Amino acid sequence: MEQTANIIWDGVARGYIPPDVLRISPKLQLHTKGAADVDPITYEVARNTLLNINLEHGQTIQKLSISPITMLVRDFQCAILTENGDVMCLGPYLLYLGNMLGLITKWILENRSEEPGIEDGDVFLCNDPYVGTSHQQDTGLTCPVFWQGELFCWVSNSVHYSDVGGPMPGSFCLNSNTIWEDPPCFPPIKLMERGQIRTDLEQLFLRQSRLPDTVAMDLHAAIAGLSVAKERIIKLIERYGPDTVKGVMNRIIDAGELAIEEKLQLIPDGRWSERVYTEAAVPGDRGIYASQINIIKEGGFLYVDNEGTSPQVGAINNTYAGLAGGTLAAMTIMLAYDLAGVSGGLYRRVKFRPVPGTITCADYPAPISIAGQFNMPMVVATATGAVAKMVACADSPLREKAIAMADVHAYGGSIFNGINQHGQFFVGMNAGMAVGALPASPVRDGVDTGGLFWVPGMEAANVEENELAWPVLTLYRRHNTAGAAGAGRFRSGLGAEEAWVLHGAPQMSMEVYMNESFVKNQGLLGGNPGGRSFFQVKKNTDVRLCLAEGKLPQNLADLSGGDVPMYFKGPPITLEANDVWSSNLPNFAGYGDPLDRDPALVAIDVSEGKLTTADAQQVYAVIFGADGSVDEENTRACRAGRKQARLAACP
Amino acid sequence: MRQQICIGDNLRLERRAGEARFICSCDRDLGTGQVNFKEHCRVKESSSSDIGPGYASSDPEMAGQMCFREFFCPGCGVRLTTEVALVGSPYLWDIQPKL
Ligand SMILES: [Zn+2]
Repeated sequence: MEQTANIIWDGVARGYIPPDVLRISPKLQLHTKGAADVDPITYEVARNTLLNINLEHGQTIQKLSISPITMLVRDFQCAILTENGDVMCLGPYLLYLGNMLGLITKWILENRSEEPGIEDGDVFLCNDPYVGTSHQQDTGLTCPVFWQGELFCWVSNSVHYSDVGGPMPGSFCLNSNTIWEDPPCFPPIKLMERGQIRTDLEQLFLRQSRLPDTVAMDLHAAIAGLSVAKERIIKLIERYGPDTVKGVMNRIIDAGELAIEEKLQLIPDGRWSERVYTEAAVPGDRGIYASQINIIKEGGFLYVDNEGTSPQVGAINNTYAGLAGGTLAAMTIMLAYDLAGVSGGLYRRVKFRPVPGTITCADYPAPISIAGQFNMPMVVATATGAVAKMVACADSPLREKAIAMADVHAYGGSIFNGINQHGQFFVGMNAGMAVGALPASPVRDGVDTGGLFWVPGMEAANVEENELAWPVLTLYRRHNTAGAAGAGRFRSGLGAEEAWVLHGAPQMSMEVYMNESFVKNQGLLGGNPGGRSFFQVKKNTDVRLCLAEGKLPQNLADLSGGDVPMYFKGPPITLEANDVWSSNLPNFAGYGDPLDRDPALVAIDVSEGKLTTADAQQVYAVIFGADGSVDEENTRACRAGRKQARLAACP
Repeated sequence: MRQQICIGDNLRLERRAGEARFICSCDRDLGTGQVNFKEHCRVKESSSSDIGPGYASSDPEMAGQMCFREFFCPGCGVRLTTEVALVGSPYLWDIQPKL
C-alpha cells in the first residue's frame, strides 16, 4: 500500500499501513523459493487443494463454534497468506475482514519477529483495530506454518466474539468518546506458543468477557480451524514439495492480478466519488456526518482516498483497516467476482491515500467498538457507490457488473441482553435481517432477500433458531413491498421486516438499535435511494390477548398500546411482557430512472403482490386498464407528461 | 482511443470538435467534461421525507437537515442522477471519466 508522506502509520498512534518492504528480524527464516515451472495438472490440483483447505478452515469454525453469530450467520473470515503476509485467498464470508488478516500478520512480522519471536506452533491473537481489525469484537488469530525451520505461509481467521468486555453487553459501546471507554484492545499476543495454549493469556482475554464460556468455545473453534488448515498445508507440502506449493501460491496471486489488470483495461481513466451521511456520534447527539470515498483510476492501478469525510467524533469511527477492508470488499464484488476468493491480486492493484483523523480513518484514541454495526456497512456502502459509478463507465461486459448501494447501516441488527428462559445471562445479536437484499444493477433487478453482497456466505438465522436461543417469539418476518424505496429502471431486491414479543422471560434490555432519521442510501445513475431502516417499539399492548384468541398480529398499528418515541440510537430500552417491537432491513438502491422501467416488469411486481397499482402509477407512471393489464398508450402519455412536468417544475 | 464513454443508460462523454462533452441520449449537450454535468441539469430539491411513499421520517427535525436532489436532462426530462445531501452542500462531482 502506498503511504501518505510524513505520517507514521504504525498501528499505535494511527492505523497500520505496511511498507512495501517489511522490516523483519533476520532471526526469522522465510521460505521464499517458488518453482516457476509447475506443470498445469499439478498446478490445478494444488490450487484447488489450497482453496479447499481454506473452505475446510471455515467449515471447522462454523461446526465447532456455539454463538449464533458465528455458527448460523457466519460472521467471520479465514484466509491463507504468503510468508510475508500477502493474502492469497479468502473464504466466502465477511469480505472486509480479509485484508485485515493481512494487516495483522504483516504487523506481527515487523513487530514480533525479533522479540518474542515467531516460531513453529505459535498462534497470535489480535483485536486491536489500530493494528488491523474492524472493531475489537472481530478478533483475529494468525498462525505461521513452518517447513523445516522456514516460515512457509500463514493461516488466519477473524471471528466475531459475542462479548469482549467494555461497558456495554455485546461490547458495542455507543457512548464511548475515547478508546478507554471501549472494550480493551490487545495488540498481537502469542496465545499459543510452540503448540501449547498460553492459559494465562487465554484467561486474560476471556476475563474481559461477560460470556467467557461462550467466547472460549468460539475461540477454540477458531484455533481448530487454524490447526486443520495448517495440517492440510503441511500434507500438501509433503506430497509436492515446498517449492512447488509456493510456486502454485505465487501463481494463484499472479493470475488473480492479471485478471484484475484485464478488467482495469476496460475502465477509462478518471475519478469517481461517493458521499453518504450518518448521524448521532453518540446517543442524543443531533449531528450529521459525512463519509466520502474517491477513486482515481490511472492505467493499471486504483488510488483510493477518503477526502471529504468528517473529522473523527464520538463513537462512530473506524481505523485504516476498516477503510481499506470495506473498499476492497466492494471492489472484490465488482472486479474480482470471478476469482473464487483469490483476492491477493486485486489488493496489489489498489493504493490507499487515506486522510487520517477522520471517522473512516481515525487516529488513536478514537473508540472503534461500534464500527462493526455502524461504520463498516457505511464504508462498504460509500465504496460501493464510487466503485459502481466507475464500473458503470467501463466497456461491456464489465459495466453490467456495477451494483447499486446497500443500506448505509445495513446489518439491520439489534443487540440485546438479559436473563433468558433458562435463567442464564445472554447477549443476543439478531441477524434475522441478514436475509439482506441484492441491489439493482444496470441490466437486472436485484434479488429479493438475496443476502448481503459483501458476506456471500452469510445466512439469516431462522425464526425458530432465534426463539431457541433467546426468550422471544416472532410475530412475523416478511418481505418489504416494492414501492418507491429502491425503485428504478431496475429495482432493488426487497428487504424484509419482522416483529417480536418476549416469551419465557419477564424483561430484557435492548441496547443497540437503529431507527434512521432520514434515508442515507444513494440511488445509482437516476435510481431511487433505498429505504429508511426503522426500529419501532409499542409498549403495554394487547398482544397477549390477541395470541390467547388465536390471532397473530401482523401490524404494530393493529395493536393497542403506546408508541415509544425513537431516535436513531438512544438509551437502552427495557422490553417487557406486553411490548412488541419491529425492525426492518430496507430495500437497497435502485438503478436508472423509474420512468424508464419496462412496464411489463412493473406488471409482474403487481401480479406477484409486491407492488400496489397505486404505487405503480405514482412511482413508475404505469397505468393499468380495467382488465388489469398495462394500458400501453396511457402509460406512454403519462410518462411523457411526467418528464415535461419535471422540467416545468424546475425552470 | 475511446471516442465515447457511456455512463449508465442516458449519459455519455463524447468527443465533439476535439473536446470531451457530456451528452444526453436525447442529444442535449450537458457541457464540457471539465465541469460537473450536474451544473447543466435542471435540479429539483425536495425533502428527504418526500422521495415517495415510505420515506417519511419519525424525526422531522433531523430529516429537515437533509434534502433529495434530482438532476434532470433539460432536453428530455430524464432523471440522470440523484443525491441525498445536506441542505446547502455543493453538488458532489462524482463522475469524472477521462476521454
Ligand atoms: Zn436528454
